[in-house]
Amino acid sequence: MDDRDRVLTRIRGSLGRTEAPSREAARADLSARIDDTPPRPQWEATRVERFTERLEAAAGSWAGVADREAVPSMIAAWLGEAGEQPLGMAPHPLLTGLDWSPLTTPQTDLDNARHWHTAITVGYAGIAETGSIVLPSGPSRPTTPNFLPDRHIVVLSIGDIVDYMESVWDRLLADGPLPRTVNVITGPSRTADVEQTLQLGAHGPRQLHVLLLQD
Amino acid sequence: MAVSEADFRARARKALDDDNLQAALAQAKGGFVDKRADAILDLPAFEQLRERGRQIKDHTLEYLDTYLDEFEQNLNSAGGQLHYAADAESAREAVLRICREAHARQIIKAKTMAGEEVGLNEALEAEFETVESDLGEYIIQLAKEPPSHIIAPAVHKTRGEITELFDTHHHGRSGGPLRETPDLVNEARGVLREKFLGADIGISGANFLVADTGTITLVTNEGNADLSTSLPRVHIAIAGVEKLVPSMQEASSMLRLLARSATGQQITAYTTFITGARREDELDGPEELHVVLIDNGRSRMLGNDYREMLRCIRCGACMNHCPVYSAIGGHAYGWVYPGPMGAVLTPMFRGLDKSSDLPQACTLNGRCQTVCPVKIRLPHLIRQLRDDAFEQQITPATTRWGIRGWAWLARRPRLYTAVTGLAQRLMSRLGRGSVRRAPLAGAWTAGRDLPLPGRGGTFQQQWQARQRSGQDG
Amino acid sequence: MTDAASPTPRVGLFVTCLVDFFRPRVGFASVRLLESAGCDVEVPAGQTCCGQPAYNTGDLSDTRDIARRVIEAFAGYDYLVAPSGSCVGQIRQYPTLFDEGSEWRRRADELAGRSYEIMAFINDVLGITPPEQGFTGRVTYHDSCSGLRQLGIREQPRRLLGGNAGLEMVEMDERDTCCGFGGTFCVKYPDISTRMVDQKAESIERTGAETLLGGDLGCLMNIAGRMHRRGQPVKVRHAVEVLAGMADEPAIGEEEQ
Repeated sequence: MDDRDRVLTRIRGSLGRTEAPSREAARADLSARIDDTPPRPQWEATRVERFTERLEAAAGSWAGVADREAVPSMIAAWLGEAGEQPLGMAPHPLLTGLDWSPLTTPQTDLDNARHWHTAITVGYAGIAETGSIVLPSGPSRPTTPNFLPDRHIVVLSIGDIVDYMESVWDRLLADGPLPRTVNVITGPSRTADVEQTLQLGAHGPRQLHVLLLQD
Repeated sequence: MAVSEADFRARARKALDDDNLQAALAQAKGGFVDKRADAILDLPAFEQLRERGRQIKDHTLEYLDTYLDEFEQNLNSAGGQLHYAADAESAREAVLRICREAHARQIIKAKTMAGEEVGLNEALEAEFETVESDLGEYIIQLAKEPPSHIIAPAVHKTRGEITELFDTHHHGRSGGPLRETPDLVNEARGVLREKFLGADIGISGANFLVADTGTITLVTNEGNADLSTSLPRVHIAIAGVEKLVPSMQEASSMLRLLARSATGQQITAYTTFITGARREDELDGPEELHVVLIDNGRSRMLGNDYREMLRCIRCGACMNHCPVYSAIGGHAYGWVYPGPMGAVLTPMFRGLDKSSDLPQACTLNGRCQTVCPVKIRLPHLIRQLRDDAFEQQITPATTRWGIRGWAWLARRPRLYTAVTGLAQRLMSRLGRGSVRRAPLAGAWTAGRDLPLPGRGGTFQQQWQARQRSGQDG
Repeated sequence: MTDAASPTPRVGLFVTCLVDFFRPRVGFASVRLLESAGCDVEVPAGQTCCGQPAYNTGDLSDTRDIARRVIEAFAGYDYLVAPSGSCVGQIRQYPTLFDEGSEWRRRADELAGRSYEIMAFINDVLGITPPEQGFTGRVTYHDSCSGLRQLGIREQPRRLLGGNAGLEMVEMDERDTCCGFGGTFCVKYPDISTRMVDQKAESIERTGAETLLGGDLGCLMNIAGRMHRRGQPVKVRHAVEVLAGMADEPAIGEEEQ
């Protein structure tokens, strides 16, 4: 008997059976136990206001941007002098199709990502409840730029902000199995491991800046 | 780490005398409690959420075999591989085998309590360069110490001690000036960045495993789990079989409970959902994903009176609110799970005879239960372990016979009144008010004066006298 | 109420072993308080202890025997009332000692349903605020963990004590934290217990209160003993002493005049 059989046999033994019940039986028991709507935070502000308020509370920053053509100049302004540092971006059509003339066109070769000072990515969704950015992995959304650079800029369409995390799963699962990784990011990296003192920029980005794109 | 549950009292004494530790504990205590209290203000229905958490976990445990099958199928179709481990040795072997087959040289680890539980680090360090990436874990790895808290492993270390460790290990010097927190964090960032980039294998735990998508959920604030699981070629996640939840919907509810209960956040900075290995059209991500699911005593708990302990989501709220933990810290508990959760889990995993002090060293004050996000009746389970210890004669004979003798007396009211009356008479004559020392009361008077009874007799004696003389109370 | 129609509730006072031995005046204060609230109070013979030391040591068979005695002794009373949240918490656990469906289980359930901590009884069941007793001074209150968490007693004592206009209540920090008594815990792990009660003594000191009140003698003796050792001049009393107008006698651990 290998470990798989041994463990599953023990588990079934402890549950008093020799075969696992069907998924349908399990789901029926679950829906008898819990309501469809989970207890969640509620708010009076608009969805976007809640999103920006929570993002700021998590030490993230944001700016509104009227249209996508304005993204490079907004980034140049935000970067200021630091804009001279290596700049990278996800190979997302929204970004690769832009005229980056105020800056040098950001790199997309991930082999260089470790040297990027700033990375620009495109959010799949925002979560108003927590002020989070959702970045599912895929050809136009590699994972590395979300974590390696010092600064992370995310372009997010206002229309992609949802109230709660559950809506993100509904949207993603409607397109098939989940992507390899879904990063839900709320503010910059932080640690409190030295004397419980909060310090930003532990291993991931020190700054998270969101450009909220009007639709 | 060496298992030394037996020396609880000595370790507790040492902890109480350790000024650095006491300073660190005092600093940590209020922070965790206040942050949690603040975080639940945004969610007035938190009590209903706790009940939901309890139901989700109870349900999943009741159908654990169903969900394990489902998880395995979905993990496989996403390109991941599942490995079961019946015990700690088998878990270590499974991980080592994967590392060897991948021709690993360097391993980067994100924090995993399941890994601590099975002693993974020693096994890995014997063969591979293995580095912890969670800052707290990294600090205690340098110090060659086990974690003292499940979410803040280095909570017992002061800034001075961390300065000394970093100076020694990074610069080969000692006795330098005390360094500031940003400086220390930055230095660790630089050192560990190279480790992330150079590692062949990343090892993580899992906060939840989602059955109907085959997904691993990881939460961190540092981003270390993300770097550990996206840069190396191979990702190995190790987790207990009880980490399953049915779907992403339930995972979302559980995450609301976890972040608030653990660090007092509404959500951690990085909440990551990993489903399988790198896809064909992707530019990055690990080529292999392995999930090692450990039993190590869990299947036994599923069938005994301690099943509800398997609801535990390892948030640490019980220890943050435990007055015993905040007096002695985590190391005194002698194994990887400290505080109230450890008082139940250590006897379950290591044997009650090897950890007999843990369920006793609790005042049953019940505060842990009120903050547990999945409503585990920790005081009930701890007290139940005392039943087991009494029954199995693990409780010391002096205690057992002392209690039996006292109970024998308590069942004989007339004799009880006579004996207590006499004892009270003797005691009231030891002094007036309070005494610093009294026969048979050494444990009490070690730290306290003993308030003496007055000289008028016990209540029963006085009451009976009044009844006889027809006096009114 | 088991017998709402009864004009005079018949109360069996469960004295508790600690009150019986260390501080009988808490028993007399309880009698006075209950009588002035319109109860007919008796002290049933045959009571000794609630069995908690055995229960919390894991000695279930002896606990069961003691529980049967308490159940017998308090049969026929409208209520069992005790000046202790801890003992009432234990009595409410009695049903778990007996098999479901058994006669003893039924009787244990029945007793549990009419057992009350004294201040919760006066406030919640009788709905009475005891008359002003003229107590004056700065007071802080220790919530015993069993009263607080097993029985939900927090506001009741404060409401009742509020009847004394000259009593100034100052809450201590970390008031939800255990004092380190824990029954046999304090003598099994004296080092840890001492540290815990030390922190409690410091919280009390920060309030500047002259008097510490509480509802459980075990905690109060623990805290009084530690404060006495520290030389901290705070008077410690059971709250019923104040409510019954008997707070003029020596406090816990104080010399008799």
